Amino acid sequence: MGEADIIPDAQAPAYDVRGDAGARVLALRGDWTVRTVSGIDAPLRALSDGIDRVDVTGLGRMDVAGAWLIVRTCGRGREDIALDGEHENASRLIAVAQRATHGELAHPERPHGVIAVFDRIGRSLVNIRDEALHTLGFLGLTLVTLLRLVRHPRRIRWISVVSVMETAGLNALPIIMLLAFFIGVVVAFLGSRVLGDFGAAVFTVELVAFSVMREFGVVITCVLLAGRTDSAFTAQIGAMKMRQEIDAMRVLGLDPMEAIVVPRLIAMVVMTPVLTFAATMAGLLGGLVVCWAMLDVSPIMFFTRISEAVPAQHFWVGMLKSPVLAVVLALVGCRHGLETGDDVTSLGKRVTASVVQSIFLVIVIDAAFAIWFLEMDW
Amino acid sequence: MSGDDDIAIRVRGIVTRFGAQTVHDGVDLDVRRGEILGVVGPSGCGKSVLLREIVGLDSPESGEVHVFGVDVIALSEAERRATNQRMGVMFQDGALFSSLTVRENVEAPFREHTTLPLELVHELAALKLTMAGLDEGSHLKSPGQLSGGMRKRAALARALALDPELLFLDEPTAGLDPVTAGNFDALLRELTDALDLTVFLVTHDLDTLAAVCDRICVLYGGKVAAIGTLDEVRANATGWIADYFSGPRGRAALRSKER
Repeated sequence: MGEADIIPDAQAPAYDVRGDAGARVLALRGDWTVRTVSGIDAPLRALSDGIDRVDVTGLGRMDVAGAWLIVRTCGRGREDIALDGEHENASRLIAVAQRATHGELAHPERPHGVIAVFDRIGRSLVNIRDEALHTLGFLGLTLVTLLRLVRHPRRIRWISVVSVMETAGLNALPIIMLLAFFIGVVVAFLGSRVLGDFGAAVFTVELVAFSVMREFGVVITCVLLAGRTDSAFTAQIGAMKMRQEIDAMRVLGLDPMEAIVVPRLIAMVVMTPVLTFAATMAGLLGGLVVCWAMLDVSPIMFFTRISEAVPAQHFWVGMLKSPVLAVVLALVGCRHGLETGDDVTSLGKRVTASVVQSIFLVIVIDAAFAIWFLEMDW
Repeated sequence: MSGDDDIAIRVRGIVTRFGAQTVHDGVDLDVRRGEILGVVGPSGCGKSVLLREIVGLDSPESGEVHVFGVDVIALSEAERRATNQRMGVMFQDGALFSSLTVRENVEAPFREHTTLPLELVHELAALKLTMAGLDEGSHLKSPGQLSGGMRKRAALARALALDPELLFLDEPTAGLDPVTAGNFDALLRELTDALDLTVFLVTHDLDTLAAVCDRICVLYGGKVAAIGTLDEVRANATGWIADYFSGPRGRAALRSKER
């Protein structure tokens, strides 16, 4: 699409500087509009001061962009610019631009270069510190709210608890089980290959049982919940914050911690172990299928081996971690939602931060648990 | 037809339905070049929808819209974009892009549609913002840091970026305090005269109607119920229109105009 579609017969702008009885006159020709002036910007910028009058006799169309070029060239430090000749709107437009700017426009730039890099590094560091402090603060606030609710259990909103349990927990069940199943398949497959090289392929059953029960069941569940449920919490609460619903709650005497955070926390703490259990079972099933197909280990043998060779504590280690990680997921999701500002960009940033932080915390906390449980010989 | 050159927007027989609800039932309307036309009507009468149909965001079920003599409903997407460059639209809450600074918002149309040097684009954006009454301290802020009145000024600067001939304003003074709204009205009148704009203004604000508009169009019951200068519309007011102008808010606005 060319410019011709918009202005059918645009003339290229041009100018002359001529002397007229001791005064320097800038004579304009052609159309001086936002679509035509790109070529004469640089030459006009280079034109020295000292234009006394502007001749608009030959001027075609003019708009604010053209008027600004005139004002920039000869309006500095003047009240008005003397025009020769008649034109339908040049004098009015030049007067508007002159009045607004007096020939000078500051257009400050954002800092760039080395200073900007240090500026951003500094801001990020302060931001990391603030995030850590706020997370701890929010944890404290949640604990205080929970203690209050323990004393007044009737104020817990069971309806929202159940509703969150369904949307955040039950609806995630199929995808979590499917993924855990595939993880079980992959682990068994690798195990049969690697252990087979040592002639110990039969230990694949133990490998699957150990890894799925202790780690994969719970980690897969929590990472998936972080991506699926945590982001939903942040987006939902953030949108409520942007529409001032949270403020309305406070004014009406409803505590957002009680009404929004605690139901989600309770629902997550209840549902995550359930989902972890389902994921563990699905992972074992995946291992079972591979063992049966590739190693001729029958399902009955698979389970007999597990019950004989794998103590139940491994199962409990995985299940024990899940409510702790559930608390982390719920709190991170809700906190970022509540800290959303009132524009769309901040909502996007908060959702991203919420998912990244919760996955990060899930893996770090899981690693800490792994070390602790090993040291405890569990 | 004589006098066609004077008509910037010609709307004929617009019918709009949302499901079973008929919003426009044959709207006929002319906007003359160089005038400020104020469109009023009860909430839900389709004022904003009419605006959206003229700028091409929605299509009516039937009817014609001519802008500068061109039937815009029949245009292809590319032709439509070319015509739209002659229009500027200011939405109700400004609709500034929140990921850009205020000045970048005004620069966006320049970068998209012109080949001007960057330095000149900065200058022209700063000039438009200054003309809209925002000093350079606010140019690098993000829209979220501005007050409601300043956001509207920034949105006006963006709507005026490419020097459109036609300006559409959706509730420009809604949500502003009376002093800020009054200043905005004055700015609008000043810029319209200086830049020779044709303005299509949707409003509820009687003060804006009295202070700024050359003519007023009342949309009621899916049709144009009255059109003319404020005095003409008031002289023949019946029904909703009479209630509108003779209610306590209407009387106060008109009194202040007469003063």
